[in-house]
Amino acid sequence: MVIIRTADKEKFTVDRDVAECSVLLKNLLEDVGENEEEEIPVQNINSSVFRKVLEWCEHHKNDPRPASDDSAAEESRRRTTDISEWDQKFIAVDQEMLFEIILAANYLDIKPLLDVGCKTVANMIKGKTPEEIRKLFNITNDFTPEEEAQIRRENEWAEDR
Amino acid sequence: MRDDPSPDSEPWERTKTNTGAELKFKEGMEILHGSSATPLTRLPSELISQIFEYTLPDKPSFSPSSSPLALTQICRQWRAIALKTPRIWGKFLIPDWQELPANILELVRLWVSRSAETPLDIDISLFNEDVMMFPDKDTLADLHKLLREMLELLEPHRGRILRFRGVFPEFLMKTVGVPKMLNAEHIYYCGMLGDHMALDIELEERPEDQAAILSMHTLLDVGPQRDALRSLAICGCAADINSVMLQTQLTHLELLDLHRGGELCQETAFMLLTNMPRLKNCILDLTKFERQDWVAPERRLVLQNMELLFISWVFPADIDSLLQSITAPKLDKLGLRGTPMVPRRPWTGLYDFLEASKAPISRISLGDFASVDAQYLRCFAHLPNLVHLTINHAELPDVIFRTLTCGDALYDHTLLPNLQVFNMGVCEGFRLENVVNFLKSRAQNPPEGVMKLRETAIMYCTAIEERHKPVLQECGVENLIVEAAEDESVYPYARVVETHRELLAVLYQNAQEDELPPFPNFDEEGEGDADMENADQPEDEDDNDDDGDDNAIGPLREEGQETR
Repeated sequence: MVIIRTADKEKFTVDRDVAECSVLLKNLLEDVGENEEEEIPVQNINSSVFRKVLEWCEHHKNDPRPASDDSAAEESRRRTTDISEWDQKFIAVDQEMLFEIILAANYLDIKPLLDVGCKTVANMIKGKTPEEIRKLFNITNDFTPEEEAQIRRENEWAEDR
Repeated sequence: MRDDPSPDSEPWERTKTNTGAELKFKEGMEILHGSSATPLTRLPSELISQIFEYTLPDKPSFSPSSSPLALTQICRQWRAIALKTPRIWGKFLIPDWQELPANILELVRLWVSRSAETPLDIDISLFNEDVMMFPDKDTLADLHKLLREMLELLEPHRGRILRFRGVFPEFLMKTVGVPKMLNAEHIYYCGMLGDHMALDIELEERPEDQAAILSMHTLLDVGPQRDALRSLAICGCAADINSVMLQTQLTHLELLDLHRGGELCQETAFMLLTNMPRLKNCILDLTKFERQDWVAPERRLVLQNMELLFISWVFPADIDSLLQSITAPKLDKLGLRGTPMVPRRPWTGLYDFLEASKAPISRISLGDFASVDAQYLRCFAHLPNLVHLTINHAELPDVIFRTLTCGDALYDHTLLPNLQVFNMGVCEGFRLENVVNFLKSRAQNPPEGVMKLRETAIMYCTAIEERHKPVLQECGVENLIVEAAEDESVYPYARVVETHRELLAVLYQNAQEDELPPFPNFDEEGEGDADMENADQPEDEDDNDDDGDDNAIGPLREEGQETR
């Protein structure tokens, strides 16, 4: 077991193999060795997000770990937008939490979880018009008139003949 | 630990365990990113960039309502990130000429420029490889000009092409520049149907000038040997076989419908197989007779990695010597389409190949064996793993069905115990009752050790008439398709073809993504379980005779179209 302290100072006692889903934690744990008393701080993640991340790690603790230098596997992961049923349920959260999970997965270096988050956002974007996308993510259209003109031109090229 | 993920609805407050820390964290984030920041814009640009990559549609599109162009139209930040994400611009598909956007050339320029140095994945489908709607003369000239300009635009980028697929007229073959695509992993080059037909007409009109005519035609040069190239498909044009022969690292090879001057014979096929020990999938179309003095080697060549082999051949080509000179111990799928040239005696080419290979073949498709006695039962003895059997255009005597019928006096329990799918098209030589008994015995409570037959298609077999459908439906096969030709006069013209693509489609379903070549979209080819494909009109059919009964068989050829 290892003890992990989140940014809001909550402590989590976690199985080592669960924690090691995170490359960052795995490296930190290697540094502290077998000293189970030592707390591992994760500065950028609060407890509610970390709890959610741990839930994912617990479920996926026996998955094969992606090798950091396996570019073929990386390429393969990139090409598919499939998300497993469990992960779909897991990631059915509000936008705030979704982006916090993505940030946490990125910080903790949990590539498969980062993929799940990114693919989920991508699926939200797919098939929507620019206006619908802006509305969905509360984004303001801040283009300059010059940029608007360039966009219009590109759209004209792409229109049907 | 519960198995289902917790619902997200866990409110923020409920998980709060110490004094307002979360609130502080949130406030900190707001100070860091600005209080107006929306959750998404808080992500660092490399993560937004990664998300963008996942928004690309399966079929690349230039549409402003589709990624990547749509991503540039949301806000300045997204546009900047999209323009700095070369990977989302590296893949594009030039659609059929009838669906071209207003200014495809500018779009290609935009995509190529925004893709920076990223590997390119290009599909130029301006012309269809199988069916060509004839544009009028002016339109065709415009399209040729456009295609030339596009290829010239791509010329400086050939070195970063990773996947390339396209259909091109012969006069642009050199402009395409396949030999310069030195880093390509997958190349699919298809000639235009019209060129093939024009050559045939030319040769027919001036047979005395055959050598001169052929010398005027360009052969597709694949280029020098390279290690990157894994998949190569050449279809519907003349190919420089010597340059193909150099590609020794291929795992996937398709050579189909090669024109005069670059056709295949058994000897060439054998040399290709010898030179490419890594081949997993090989599809060859033999149309030429090998030199008289070629003798197949005494020792069989072992194709160590071959998993799918599909060979079609037409007279004067044959298959016997090739099959006698190879084995494929890992073969999973085998397709043979052609008539073995044998005198009146059993043909053992297939049997000998199977016996020597001892491969765990799960699927076989045989077509056009006609009345050749291919020793089917002896062949079946070497197919204990066979799940899927398709036989088209062949004579299948009753003894075959009886030997496969559980409970029949002739039943051999060792034959095809794993058979689950059985299809036959335009076959004869059997009586209805023997087929019915065979289907019943295999579909309804087969004995232990015999898999249940779950799928059968019977197409245009003389012994199966419309009125027989009910009795066949009662056999208990879960998925049964029966097509009977209503008019006997059409039987000689009925064509049922299982193409190599259907075998490939099955293969690709299980393939790793990075093994997928940029080859035709098999979805349109009736993939998976739709095994029977009607194709090929009778060769001597009058194009203008649309009302004839022969149209009852196979798809109708649309007016103004030609089909390969």
